[in-house]
Amino acid sequence: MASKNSLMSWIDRRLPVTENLERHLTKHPVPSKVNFFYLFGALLMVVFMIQVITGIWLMMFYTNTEEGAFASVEYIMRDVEYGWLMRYMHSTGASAFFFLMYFHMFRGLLYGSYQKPKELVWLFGCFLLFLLMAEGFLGYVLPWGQMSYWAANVILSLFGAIPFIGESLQVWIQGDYVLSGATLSRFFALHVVVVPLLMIALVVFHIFALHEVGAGNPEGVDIEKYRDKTGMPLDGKPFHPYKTFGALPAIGVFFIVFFAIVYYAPTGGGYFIEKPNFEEANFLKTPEHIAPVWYYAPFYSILRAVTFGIPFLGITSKFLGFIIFAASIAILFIVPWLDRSKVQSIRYKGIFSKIAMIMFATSFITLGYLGTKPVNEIRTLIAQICTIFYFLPFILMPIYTKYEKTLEVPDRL
Amino acid sequence: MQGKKAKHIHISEGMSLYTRDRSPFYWGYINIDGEVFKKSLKTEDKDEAIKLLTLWKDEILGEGKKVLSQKINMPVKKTLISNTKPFPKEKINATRRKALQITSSVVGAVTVAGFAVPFLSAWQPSERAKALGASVKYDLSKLEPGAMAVVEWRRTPIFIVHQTSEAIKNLPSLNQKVANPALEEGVSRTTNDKFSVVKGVCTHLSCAPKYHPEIEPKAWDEEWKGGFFCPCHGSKFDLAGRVYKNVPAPTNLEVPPHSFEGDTLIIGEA
Repeated sequence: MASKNSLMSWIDRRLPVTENLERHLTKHPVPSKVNFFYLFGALLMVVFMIQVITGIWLMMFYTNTEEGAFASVEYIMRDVEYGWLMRYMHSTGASAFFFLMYFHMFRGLLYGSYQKPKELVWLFGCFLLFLLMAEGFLGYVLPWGQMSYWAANVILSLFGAIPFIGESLQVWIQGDYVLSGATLSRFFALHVVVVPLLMIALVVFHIFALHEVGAGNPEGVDIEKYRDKTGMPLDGKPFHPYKTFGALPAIGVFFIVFFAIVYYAPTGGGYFIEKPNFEEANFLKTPEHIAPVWYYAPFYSILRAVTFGIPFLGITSKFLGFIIFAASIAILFIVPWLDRSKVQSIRYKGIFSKIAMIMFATSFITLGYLGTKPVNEIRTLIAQICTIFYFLPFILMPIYTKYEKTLEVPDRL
Repeated sequence: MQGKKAKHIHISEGMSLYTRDRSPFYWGYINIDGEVFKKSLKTEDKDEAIKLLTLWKDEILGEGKKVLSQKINMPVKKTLISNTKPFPKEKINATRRKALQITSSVVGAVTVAGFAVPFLSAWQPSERAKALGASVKYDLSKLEPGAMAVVEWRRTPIFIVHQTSEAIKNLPSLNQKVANPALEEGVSRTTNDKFSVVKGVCTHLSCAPKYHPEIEPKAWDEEWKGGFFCPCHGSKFDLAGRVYKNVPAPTNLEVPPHSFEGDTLIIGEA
């Protein structure tokens, strides 16, 4: 027997490498016909790796103190060889991460990738979105620019809005009576260790759970039904080489766009890195207009749209805003139990599901646009309407998915 | 060749096949109530090996206790073979076991909670942060009527407004427009009628409201009588820091603890 094989069997006897590689990578069956929406998962893995690697290198030059943080970022940008590339890849990577994540999740909503038995895959994904939002927020504070400081102030004051415990909770999170260096250094620890570790664990769970239940497809057809003699589904193909090589051109295109932004428009016109962030944090000077980075804008809009409280329950408008804002993310977690449809894919669902998806997507984008703009009466009103449209597709989902007329799903892909 | 993968293959209760590194043959393994039998089945074929193993088990058990052939078709599952006898059920003291479980859970939980204390407390403001939060003084004699000074206390901007007589006259007339018109704390919301002392932090989302003392129509209010306007989300406050109705900010601008000593204002000590 060849020496390579006996080495492999020596290892396999002690650690099942071959078995797991085959199970999770090479021989793992995936549906033979999917569309571009199914590429985002692979791209997300690529971006995650970019973030981890550039993040480690940035850490080598960054200083996590109030006095040193801003200067160290300037040092990375100006003095460290290719430091600018590391930082712009990391900051653009953050935007790319959210961009891909939103499409990846919208794919899930469209094609019912959360339906039984994929609930856990979806849940882990939602946790990943939550962690990504936390990670992005923590990371945005680290350069200690004006927007870092004031945006963090806005978000931390949300905790202060919680009745009774709010104020002391906020002081505890900040480690000071105001947002200060104490906050910065703990955010650094959370950003580089705690949240990434949790994310890696969840990515592993997400993928293991996916491989247990099998990847979906835009038709919502169960490919496990028909198998050939070797046990490979008739409408399935092994992950390698069919999907690995299929994803390569997509990764190529992604890199072209990604690096075009990194090289030519790293600040994304103020949407990826906001202009006030090129000025060091100043406790006494609030920027004229505090806007979140684009990827938080839809949720920020929801937060701001709540201009009223529930006085007789002692709930202020600020706290109610916080609740609705939290609910806008929390509602995603329960989607698997809201959808009562017999079919998975939007292609076979009825008209109401289609309207609901359009409603959701439109309001999400509109809220995103409004979130980056200063408020006025008309914008607040639009944001309030869009907030309702954001929630309605989910709240009414148990009703319309149950009663609407669906098309018959074919047997095969 | 199958024989190279060295692992146990569970066949049915107490019966399994296993393969060894150096042997191409399947080995049989039978466990009858803790008594273990094993031997090489001298075959490389798995089905053959299962057959031989079944026959062998029948041989050991003797007539009348034959292994049912259906059992052999059970799903092949990897499992570790245990040759410990189960502890006889009648000897288990359930109450004692429950008590031990509860005690150890409680002790465990208390330990975890105890260890959490230093880690969670480390997030509280440090002694240095507490010292930096001490009170500050400001000399009011330098502040002209209508002017505003910004003093930093606990890194928060504190707005000190020297009210003009016109402003003091106007304040009660705004009672209709503000959400909480109570002026029992004094027209200027301090013990000193001439000065207002408020935190320059919008009670909505911590932006800094801008000082606009002019009495003139503004983009945000045509009957503006002077006050603070927050450019972030459009909250309006009058010169005493009282919040207008129907704006995002829920409450009046906060008044920090402060006291007057002659011409000196002490912020941080009531």
